[in-house]
Amino acid sequence: MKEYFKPGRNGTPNFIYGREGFAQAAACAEACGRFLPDDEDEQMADEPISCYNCKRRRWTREGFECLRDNFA
Amino acid sequence: MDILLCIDDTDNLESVGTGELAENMADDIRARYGGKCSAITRHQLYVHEDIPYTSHNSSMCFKASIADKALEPIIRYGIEFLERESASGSDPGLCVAPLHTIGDIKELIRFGRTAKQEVLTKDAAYNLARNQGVHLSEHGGTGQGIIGALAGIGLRLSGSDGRFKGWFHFEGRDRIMEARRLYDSPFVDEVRTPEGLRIDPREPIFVGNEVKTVFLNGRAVALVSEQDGEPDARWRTLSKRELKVY
Repeated sequence: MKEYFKPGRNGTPNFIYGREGFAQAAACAEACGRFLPDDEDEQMADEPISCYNCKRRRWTREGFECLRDNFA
Repeated sequence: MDILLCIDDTDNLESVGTGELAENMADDIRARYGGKCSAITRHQLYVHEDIPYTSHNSSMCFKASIADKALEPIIRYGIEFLERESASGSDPGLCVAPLHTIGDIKELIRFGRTAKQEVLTKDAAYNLARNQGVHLSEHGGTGQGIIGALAGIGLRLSGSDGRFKGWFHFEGRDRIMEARRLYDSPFVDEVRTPEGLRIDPREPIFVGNEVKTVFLNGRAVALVSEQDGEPDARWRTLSKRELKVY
């Protein structure tokens, strides 16, 4: 997982492939094991399992930050 | 009378989304007040570190045709609904705009478009709402959701922003169908390309597993794109990835 992220604000993992890294977002979500589908209206990727479709991501200007550790 | 109702910032990371709450509100307005409610549009707002959005920063808006006497009860209902249903830690805002009392629609549209590119303040939102005869109220947390709620009204008034809530699934294994089938469905007003070319109802289209409509020129538009090397269907519906810009 580390290969997909760098530390952002308060150490929150920031996805390094921006908003157009569809292949990497899919591979990352497959490897994660904690993918949780967001509302279908908020899903942005055609790959069903993708960080871009995960409820545990928060969009930023550059890409998204992963908030999976904020969930119980 | 016709009103627009918009809500923003009602959720947290684990709650149901703002779109689902908007849907519940529309259902209640139909059931309790006999209103006729339109489909819900989602409006993307500015993503910036100074804005305390949950995960997407979008607001949800719908139009309702109601009896004049129902306006105040619906506003009270909306307030109670958000105070009851919004998630802890959220900053919910409610905007209700009776279309006939709006002073200058262009001002609201300008506010909405600015909210897609700049960080705006609550003061600016309250001032504009007051001047335009629009109800705007906050219901917990910082109340920052009022900015998105008012912006959503402006963007809906613009006629061309955002996408409709919901993905539509066509039954059957045959994915190639005449555009007429899309035109005949209740959620599509027009089938066209992003560049504006209207598709004739007789044209065959490859329809993906899901179809979403976007809000363009006041209409629900199913967007299609030309596909090469497909003799049976010159057009295909846009994918999630292609629709994310709307």
